[in-house]
Amino acid sequence: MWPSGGDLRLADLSLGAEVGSGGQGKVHELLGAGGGHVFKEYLHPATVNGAALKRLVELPADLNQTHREALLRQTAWPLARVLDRGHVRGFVMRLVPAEFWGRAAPGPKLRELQYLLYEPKALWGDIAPPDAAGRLEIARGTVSLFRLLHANRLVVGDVSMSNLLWSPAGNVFLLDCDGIRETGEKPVMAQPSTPDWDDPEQPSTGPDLDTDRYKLALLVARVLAKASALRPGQPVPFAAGVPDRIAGEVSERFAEAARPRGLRPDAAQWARALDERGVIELDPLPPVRRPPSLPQAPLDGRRGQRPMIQLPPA
Amino acid sequence: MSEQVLPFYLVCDESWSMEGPDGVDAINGCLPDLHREIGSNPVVADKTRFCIISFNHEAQVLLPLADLSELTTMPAMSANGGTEYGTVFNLLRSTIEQDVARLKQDGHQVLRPAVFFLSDGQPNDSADWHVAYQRVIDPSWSARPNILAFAFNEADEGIIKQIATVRAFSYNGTLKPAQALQEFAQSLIRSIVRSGTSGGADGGMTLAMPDTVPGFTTIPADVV
Repeated sequence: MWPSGGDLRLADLSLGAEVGSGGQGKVHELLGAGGGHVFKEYLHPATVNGAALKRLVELPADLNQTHREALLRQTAWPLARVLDRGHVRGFVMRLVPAEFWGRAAPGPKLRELQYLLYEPKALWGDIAPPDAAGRLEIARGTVSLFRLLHANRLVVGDVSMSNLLWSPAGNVFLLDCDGIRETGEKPVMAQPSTPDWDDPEQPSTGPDLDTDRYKLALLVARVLAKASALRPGQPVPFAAGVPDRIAGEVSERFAEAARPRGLRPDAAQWARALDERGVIELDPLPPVRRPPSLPQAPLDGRRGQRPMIQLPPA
Repeated sequence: MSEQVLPFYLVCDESWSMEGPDGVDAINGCLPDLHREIGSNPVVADKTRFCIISFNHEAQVLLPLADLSELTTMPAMSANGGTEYGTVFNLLRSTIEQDVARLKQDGHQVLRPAVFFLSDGQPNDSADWHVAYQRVIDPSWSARPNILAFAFNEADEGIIKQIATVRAFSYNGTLKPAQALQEFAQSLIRSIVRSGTSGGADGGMTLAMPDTVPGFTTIPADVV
């Protein structure tokens, strides 16, 4: 399977058309042996932390098989660094699978999360936002992916309407994974931020797991409400068809996301809130029963005290 | 929380020298691209607005400030007449004033507007336009725009440098005129898309400006 491990040399890659560009770099399609993959070339390679990128590339091998397969299936994970004369120029990742592409008026477009946050327009072409059931499926898929990442201490950082893709079948795919960092480790480069997707309590050191939890709350509520700027503290105007039980629990969790850092709902709590099966309400437990006070056998000395050894005078 | 909006103004010369496929036809051909690219990107369409002001010896608002995703037609530019800058700067100031007031009334937080100014000639009112221009960049006017100015064909690079407040670009002949105008339009599209999706330190939007535009040489704006 390509790439087979280790760094790649830029000179060995067969570059095809440029398929995208952003603030950090350009993305080129790869031809030949690299078919089915793309190369992200950094605009400012001098600012890239090559060791951090290497760690990301090697990380899937450290995961258990279930997590590794789920991670590689649902993300554009960096698969190999690309070097030019010993310097990091970018990395290789898989091409976004066909189910996450739509055909809009200007041509092929990624099915970005943002299409779930607005009323559809004719210019969107075949990118038709799903109904409530489809939205729930996408929210569940996203929460499940975040559970996996957070369980492995991976911070996404820039969670936004542009870097999560969805498919009509309800699958999700995360882009810009070179922005992910392990808790306690440095990122590959300074993390970008996205308007309306900021955590007002983000620490000055940059996003962390708690920041991710806040943004996950934004994502779930905004997808279920078809709203682009909803914030915790505001009521969630759910799309028609969201079951009452789920709406109630999502509203509670969303309000909790306004609490101080450390108290925001985590991905596991979101998974429970979105689960169709619901939860079984349990009655409060009866008071703890105390042991009976029974007569105790006399011991040598007080109960629990060790016998003393009498020593002869010196 | 009020929603941030960043207004963009395309201020384009349509004097007679802009006639034909190497002039307004090339710009007209790019306007549907602009509409499709911005209009099919919901966040960008939501956070930006677009207005076209054209000028020769007169100036007019061809397309009032609009959400591009709402449009079904766009007025075309048509070349004739001379070139005067005074009238267009007067119109630009009054248009921005009205637009900003209306957006604020609608509850928006309005970011400093961005102007993409393109001219291919020398102004016939060379003695007078500065007065109108000074009103556009007046430091005491809170809505004064950021201006990127493009000198095309015969335009005077020195004058374009005076007009730009952030960056100026001068046609350098490395591309055919029609291609260079397409690149001009692409730089406008990219600037709108990136501004609508890139955040500043405070979580709000920031204006993303092109550093380079193929077919043009980047020149620093004059310091005023």
